[in-house]
Amino acid sequence: MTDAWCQRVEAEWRLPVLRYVHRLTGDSSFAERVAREVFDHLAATSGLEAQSISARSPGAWLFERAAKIVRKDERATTNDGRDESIGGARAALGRLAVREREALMMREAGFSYEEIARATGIAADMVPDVVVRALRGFQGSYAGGRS
Amino acid sequence: MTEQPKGARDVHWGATAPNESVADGAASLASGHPPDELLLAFADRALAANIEEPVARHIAGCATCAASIQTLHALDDTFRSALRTIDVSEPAEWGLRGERPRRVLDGLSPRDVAESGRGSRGRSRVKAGFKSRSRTKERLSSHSGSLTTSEYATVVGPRTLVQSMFAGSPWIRWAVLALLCGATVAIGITLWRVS
Repeated sequence: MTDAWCQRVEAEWRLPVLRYVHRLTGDSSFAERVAREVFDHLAATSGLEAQSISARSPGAWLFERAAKIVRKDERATTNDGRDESIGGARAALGRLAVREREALMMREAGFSYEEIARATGIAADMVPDVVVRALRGFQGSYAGGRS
Repeated sequence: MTEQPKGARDVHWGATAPNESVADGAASLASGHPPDELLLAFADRALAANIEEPVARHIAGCATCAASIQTLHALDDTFRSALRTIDVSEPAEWGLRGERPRRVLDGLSPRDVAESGRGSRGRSRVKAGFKSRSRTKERLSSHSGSLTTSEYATVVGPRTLVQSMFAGSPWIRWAVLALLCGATVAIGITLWRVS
């Protein structure tokens, strides 16, 4: 990957990646570490993988990498309770299945079903099914948590 | 690589070989109401034309499905507003607060937006009530360049219009101020002459 291309991608995608990780974990410094790691990985890619990333929107690839790092970390499912309203939303997110949570967040970020499918490993035609289930699950947990 | 229209979820159900979900969805149209996932894909503009058309026809004449779509949008809105409660704890230096996520354009295709610029189908589609006003506002803000000023003001409200004008380039800001000053002076001179 050329430096110029990586810089352009980072300029475009750094903030969405930060927000995605922050929403999943509620930890801004962790989000910054994940973003750094993801963009370093992007800069280090070469060969077929690099071609594949540059041929399509790199955003889905970046979100996929970020989600993989977050999955290994327990922040995504723990509720630190720093703030009741933040905790409520994060707790409701944490109660969803990993794929549901990621599909929902990626849809909210504007990705296509195909990109969501590629990043989460869900079959493309099942994405709306997963999203509907996730929206209902989220609503149930969030409304239940607030009442 | 084919350029996908922004705002349309680019997996088109029914565009490829028929699979179980599409067959189920299509069959459900013949036998009754489409399932919620089909309605969501419709609202996200992710259906292939050959599926979208019958679904649209069905929804147009079915209060139950129209209500189901409204319910899905309500769920979506709850989710979005819950996410905003997380976003308020973002560090200020990220500069993301209040910024809308990029490419959140689902439900309002570029065609709708372009047509809304001509004051036709797009805005009437919005007014038809598939989307709540706030969601519409969110989507149109990314495309405001293709709307006329009065149409943009109709959808987003005059206050937001003024805010967006002043958020633009400093030249626009100065031009607007100069116009306002000029108008004020002209009115003053006219009043002075009359009196």
